[in-house]
Amino acid sequence: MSWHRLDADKTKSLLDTVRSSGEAILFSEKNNEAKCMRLPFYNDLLLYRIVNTASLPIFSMDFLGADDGFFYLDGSDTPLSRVSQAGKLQLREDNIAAYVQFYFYNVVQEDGEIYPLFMDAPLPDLMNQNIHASQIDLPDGAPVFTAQQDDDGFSITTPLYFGGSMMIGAIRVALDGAVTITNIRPMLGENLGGTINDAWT
Amino acid sequence: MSKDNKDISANPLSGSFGGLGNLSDSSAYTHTDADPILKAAKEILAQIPSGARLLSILNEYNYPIKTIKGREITYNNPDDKSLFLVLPPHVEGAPELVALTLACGLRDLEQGLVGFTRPDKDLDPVEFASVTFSKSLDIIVNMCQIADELKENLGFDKPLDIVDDLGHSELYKAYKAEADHDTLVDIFVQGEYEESNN
Repeated sequence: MSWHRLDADKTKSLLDTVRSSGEAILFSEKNNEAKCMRLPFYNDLLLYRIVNTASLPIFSMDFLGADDGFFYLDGSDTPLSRVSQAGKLQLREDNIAAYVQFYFYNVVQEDGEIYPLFMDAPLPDLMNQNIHASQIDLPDGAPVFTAQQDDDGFSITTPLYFGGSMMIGAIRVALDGAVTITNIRPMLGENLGGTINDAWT
Repeated sequence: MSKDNKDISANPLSGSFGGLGNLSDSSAYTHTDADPILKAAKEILAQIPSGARLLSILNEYNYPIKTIKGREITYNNPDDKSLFLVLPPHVEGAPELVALTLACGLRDLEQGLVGFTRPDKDLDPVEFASVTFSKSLDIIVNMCQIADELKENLGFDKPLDIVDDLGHSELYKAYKAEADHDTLVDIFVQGEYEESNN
């Protein structure tokens, strides 16, 4: 899952498609590059990133794209919901970690900055050129991401960055992609070296 | 960290881009609560010396400020003459961060006013990097000053947290210690070097 840079013609097509009259200057061909990436949980859909190479700080905009439309990832859960409703989402045990990483990268939480922490991120290139690129690392022996699937979705426990601290979160992901944090508690020293479920006992 | 693949023979993009629905509407990018958020940010900036100075430039030159929705609070000054603020959901709860971002954008516009414009992409690479470096350092030091005044004058903590999150805490300390320009350059160079090697 890595970025593929678009050639000039496809970059132009993308910019022409997502350009709006009010913000046309943001989408000039001179100053923008575009790339795309496959995501393991979406069918017939790619993640597109437009990067303004002339701006300070570096400025980028992400879209989910398919033949039948583009969805600007605007920090809300609306575009992910619309993509799910379009039948593009397919969650499985082997891609749920990537989805959770993607979800928290793109959906701003009301309680502040929250995102899962991984020893090896499932989508390592996702955060490229993002403030989160300097995010904290998990200490040795920290609990790791686990997911259990049932008929309705996934029950997940994972290390989280929340409020400037490392926490352990319990998260529910429905099969339609809706995400709910059901519990958060501090990651204490005694959790290191144990399994993540030890944190709840 | 990027693994950009320049071999587009394997590019999975194919076919037409199709219809866009609401995205073709200019309002699709606009933050719905932009006006009150911007108003609150300006009111905060007006209460600190550096902010009031930047607002006076905005008022004098009447630069257009637009807002778009986005994942992270930031700004973009695409042409040295206009400013886009990117506002994430729930940002109305932190108007001081919008004020800080607005101040950075206004400083960027101010640079253009005094002829310190963005380098052309066709410029010699060394000169391009030098100009980019100087512009970035100026904006970051301005950010430190704004964040400091927001803390000292109005008691806001979050702007200094952002300075720290962005990796500029050493520059902030130097700013507080009234370090000379050469010292600030050295610290910025060291920070960039460490970031590129992480």
